[in-house]
Amino acid sequence: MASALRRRVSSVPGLSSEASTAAGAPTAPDIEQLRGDISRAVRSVCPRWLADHADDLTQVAIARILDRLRSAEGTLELSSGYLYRTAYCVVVDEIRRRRRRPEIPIEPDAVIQSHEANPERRAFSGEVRDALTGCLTRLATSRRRAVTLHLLGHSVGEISALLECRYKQAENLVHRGLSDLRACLRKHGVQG
Amino acid sequence: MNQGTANDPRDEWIAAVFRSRAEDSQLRNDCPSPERIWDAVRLQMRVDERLEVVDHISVCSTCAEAWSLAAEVERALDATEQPQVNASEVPAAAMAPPSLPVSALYGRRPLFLAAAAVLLVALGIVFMIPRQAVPPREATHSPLPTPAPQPVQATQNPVAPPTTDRPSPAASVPPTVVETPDLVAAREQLARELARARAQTLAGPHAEPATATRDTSPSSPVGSDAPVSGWISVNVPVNMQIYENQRLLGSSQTDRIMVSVGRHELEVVNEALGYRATKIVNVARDQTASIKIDLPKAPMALNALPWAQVWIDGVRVGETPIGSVLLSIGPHEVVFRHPVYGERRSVINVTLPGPTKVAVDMRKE
Repeated sequence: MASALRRRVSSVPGLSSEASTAAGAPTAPDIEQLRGDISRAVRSVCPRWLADHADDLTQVAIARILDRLRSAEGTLELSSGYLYRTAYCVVVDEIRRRRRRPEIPIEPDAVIQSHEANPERRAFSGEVRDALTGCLTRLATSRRRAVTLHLLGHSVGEISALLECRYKQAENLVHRGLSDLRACLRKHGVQG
Repeated sequence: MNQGTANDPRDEWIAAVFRSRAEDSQLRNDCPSPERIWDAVRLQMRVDERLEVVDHISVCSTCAEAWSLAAEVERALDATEQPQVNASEVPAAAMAPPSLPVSALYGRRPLFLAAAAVLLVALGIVFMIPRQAVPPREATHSPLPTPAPQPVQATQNPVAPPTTDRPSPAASVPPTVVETPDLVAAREQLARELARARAQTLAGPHAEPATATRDTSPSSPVGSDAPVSGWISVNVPVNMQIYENQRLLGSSQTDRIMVSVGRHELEVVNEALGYRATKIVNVARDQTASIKIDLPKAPMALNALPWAQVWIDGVRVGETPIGSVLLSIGPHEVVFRHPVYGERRSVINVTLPGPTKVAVDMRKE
């Protein structure tokens, strides 16, 4: 019976392959084991600017997993993929939370200065970003998808898998989409 | 990163601008959940749904950032799963798209699932049948059922050559298990044991040890070291660090912090605000103990040149100079307004040590 209740963490990216616990009945060593696994997953997912909060995010991830274990009444199997997925979701939720309510650095005894310290530069950056977003939305749908994935760092092979098209077709979409994008940006006075 | 793409150096700045959009972005209301983005990157959703997510990330920079993050994790996972191969040894055909990380994963998944299914069936045979249907002495020699009263009938896959000896696990072909009364009884018993274990798990700290038939073997999930965790939740509007015995447990930004059951003497600290307090809390198993903290007040002095009207947290407090206004420690939004020089707005931290002084020259740009 014990073996039926064990969770299995396969030996991927630094997670313990020996970790096993009773599903739904975490004991102290199990929790420590889980904490270690989750902590590694969170730290590998966490972007650098959020690394200071990795401990907090680990706690949130543990809470989610234990809640899920309880609601699943012990039938949940914790694979490493599941741990990474949970860590990723916790990190993305935190990123979104911060985007929604940006934090302003606070200095004691501050002398207030205008936030528009360099309005010219900010305005220019904003214009370039707006132009890029505008030009992207004007691209043909298939080209826009390919170019978006290309700008996010995907290779042509990955793009062809994600868009479910042939390799050559993905290559053409990226190539033509980028040409259209450059032309559009030039038209808006933005050039590299 | 973009192997296979005709990378043009002129495009690098476009990619850089594209990625930097997230810094100034506002979150939209129609963003897909992180789970959907994760599944899309890992090709674990239908193509039409995936294309919806891709359409969204082309206009939503925050989700584009989340996509990048998932793709990086995917590559890292993929790199650790795949054995390192010297590129010079790889034939040209192997460098074609199907061998690339994402597409490789896409093509490999059915094989992985099939292997998992085979393993699962084999484990079921090895663990369940000997315990329920075969006398222990025989089981030590051969875990598979040998001719015995009411044996579990297992029909081998016709592809496998019929052998009298038990095949090695690596060479074994998944058998098809035929339902027999013994197997059904064994499964029901297993289900009962699982239900009992779950009931023990869900039972509170005062539950009876129900459990006359409790499994106390070393491998038992509910043995001597039963559940011992609870939670603490710190309700305070500013971020506080929570220490116990000078060990950092977490911060108040976390919804709940897991701790062991029992009495805890916690130190709640915010160095920047100069706040430090000790709180004692008793944590019950699977319960959340709340700690409420009332922040003390501290004075703040405000001045402006030439002068200004002042609002703090949306409440008008008068015109400068203001010698002392008592505010709870922590961040407060302060707005200075002048009819000619306009408005200055900032968030000021009120701290315990010493009065907080704020001065602003409205005439400066």
